[in-house]
Amino acid sequence: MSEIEIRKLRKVYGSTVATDALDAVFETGSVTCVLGPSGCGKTTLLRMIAGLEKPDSGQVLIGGKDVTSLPAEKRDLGMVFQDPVVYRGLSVRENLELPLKQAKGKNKLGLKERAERVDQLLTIMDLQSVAARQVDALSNGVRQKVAVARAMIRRPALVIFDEPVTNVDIVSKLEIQRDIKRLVGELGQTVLYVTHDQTEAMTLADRIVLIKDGRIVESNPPRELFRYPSSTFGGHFLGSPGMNFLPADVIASSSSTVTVTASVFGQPVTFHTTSVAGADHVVGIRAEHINISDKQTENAVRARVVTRAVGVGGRWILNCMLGESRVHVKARRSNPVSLQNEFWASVPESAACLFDSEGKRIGIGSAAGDRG
Amino acid sequence: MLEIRSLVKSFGSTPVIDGADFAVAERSFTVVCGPPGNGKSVLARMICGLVEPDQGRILLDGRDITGTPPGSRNIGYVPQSFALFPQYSVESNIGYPLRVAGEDKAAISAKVRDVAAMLGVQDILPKRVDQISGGQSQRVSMARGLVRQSSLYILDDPLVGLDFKLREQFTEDLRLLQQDLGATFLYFTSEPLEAMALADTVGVLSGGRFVETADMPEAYLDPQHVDTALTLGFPRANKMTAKVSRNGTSTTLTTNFFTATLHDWHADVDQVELVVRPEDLSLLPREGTLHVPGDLELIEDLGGESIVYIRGGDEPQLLTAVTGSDAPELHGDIKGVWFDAHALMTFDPATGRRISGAIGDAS
Repeated sequence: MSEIEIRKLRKVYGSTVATDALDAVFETGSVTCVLGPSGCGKTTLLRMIAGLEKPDSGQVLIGGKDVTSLPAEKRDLGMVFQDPVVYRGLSVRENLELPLKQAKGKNKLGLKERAERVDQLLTIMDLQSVAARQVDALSNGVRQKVAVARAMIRRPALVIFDEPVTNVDIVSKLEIQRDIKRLVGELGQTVLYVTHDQTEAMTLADRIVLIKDGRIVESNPPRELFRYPSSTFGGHFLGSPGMNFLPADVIASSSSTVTVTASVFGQPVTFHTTSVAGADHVVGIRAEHINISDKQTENAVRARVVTRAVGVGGRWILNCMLGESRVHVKARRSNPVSLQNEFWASVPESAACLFDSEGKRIGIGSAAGDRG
Repeated sequence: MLEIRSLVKSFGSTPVIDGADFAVAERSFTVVCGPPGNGKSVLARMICGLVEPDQGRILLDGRDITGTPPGSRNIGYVPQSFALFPQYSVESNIGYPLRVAGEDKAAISAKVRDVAAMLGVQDILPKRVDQISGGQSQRVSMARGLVRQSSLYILDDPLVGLDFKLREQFTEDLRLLQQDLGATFLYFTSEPLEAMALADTVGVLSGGRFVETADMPEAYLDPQHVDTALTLGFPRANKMTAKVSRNGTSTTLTTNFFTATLHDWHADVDQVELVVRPEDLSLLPREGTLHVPGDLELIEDLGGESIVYIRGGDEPQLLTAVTGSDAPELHGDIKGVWFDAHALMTFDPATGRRISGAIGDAS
């Protein structure tokens, strides 16, 4: 198993910069999800790592070795695409055996080892019951599971997934995600998973690399990215609805702190930051982190509900006015305050992020410590 | 303002719309929701006059328009696919329906500018359609559907295929747009979250008919038909079939997942469909609740919520629970789900109708 590194990877198509000087390290034995909207450059990145596309400049390293000029088949990687790539006319077992039979040199395994390797994957992926069946007779979802197992069977340095659950049924989608987690846990496989779906990325990733307009804007573990995004784009892209952003007025600053007012705060809030210069700061708050009450508390502001909709898991998504600002608030259906047209809203300081005018996070509310 | 009566449409011998009755109130945002491929587009196209019904009538403001040609119905239509002219500019694409209607140049230009501003595409008017992004194309296509002034607009799943984040943004914009225009929107979708975010009123289309029409959020909170309970809500609610047996004053429900004795529930059926919402399943034991033992399949992390899939029951099936973002911390300790019998909604399997009378205590 090897660490994968990309250095200053750049690709231009005509006048469009697909990826612009991307730097990242994909850690051994972990799942890195490359996430971003359609057309952000994530597929170009994947194809350059796989050796299917030649970068204009920059390097791809696998286990410290520069593979930038190596063709795809010499890069020691497995790939899973949107549609399952399996050998028709062969059984599930034969499909898994084939890459092992074709292996040469030091990768060649004996008959017994090959059988063991196949059985191990069939077990991890719950495919034993269909092992003897022809892949043609299986549903698209099960075929995709076979394609995942086939990509993993040689234990390549890296397995790349390109939106693998887009075209499969819901049960297969869950099983494939579960299996990827198991395979990484049990085999220590290194995985690169490309998706536009924030939930898939949050569910699978040890680290999310978020791409916008050909540049990496975030590279963090999912929960950290959700709670303290490094950029307004990260705050917007993760979570549903995305983070609330409100204008902040700086009323005081020192060399390491800045104190601001914003319509979501009942009193000024101090952020630890070393980047106090500049104007047009923005405060970011998640809809989930705004508390509602029918009693006025110390740091509460009056909120008026504009619209109310049922969201995921029956929770209310309340579209509220806080002063001049429109803000989303989430509330449990069982909370009686959520049915009132006006209530008091308060935000724990530790849940607030401060961003500069470029959308870069420069601070976190003081109760969260010195994370800046 | 719009009424459809006993509408029927078959393709070959298969009825796609099979006696649909539905009414849309003036200035409402009304949503028709149902699974993909269940005839929503056919219904939308019949209302616009692009498909002829086999039977039934369509009334607009009390006037029978069933045989009226599409151009004379004065209904705005935003279809599912873009169908834009790639070689023309955005401006020319949006203005197309007005040119066909023979309006003069100055009026077209003014109306195009107005609707483009509403949809945030005013800066790309001179661009050719093949030079703009997918999200922009969708906005342009919508602008073309809205440019002709009308009191009723039909939107046939206009956000299908868009990235989640774009859809989310559009959903908010559409709601505001409908209020700004002061028009009636009839919107067709298979996405429950979209339906619940947009609708004043929702009609659930199933088996070619409307099984229920109700206001939101009542349709979610108190569904009167099993397909409403299952169609509205994300993730989808859990459904199980129960055998009903009676012994004196108590009733026993037996499902693949659990057996419960109910002390004050009476209904004259041998079988019921039970529906329980994912948010009503708990991952932690609570006293006086029913338990379904099971194993964790996967925790989907949405950021603010977690969707937890448990495999349980005598013939293992998936159950779906929703919790706050704390589920991942419970990861190793998930031993199934617990829920209150009061949370079970009961439906007659023959008709799909809700069986009234709440379930009381269970053991």
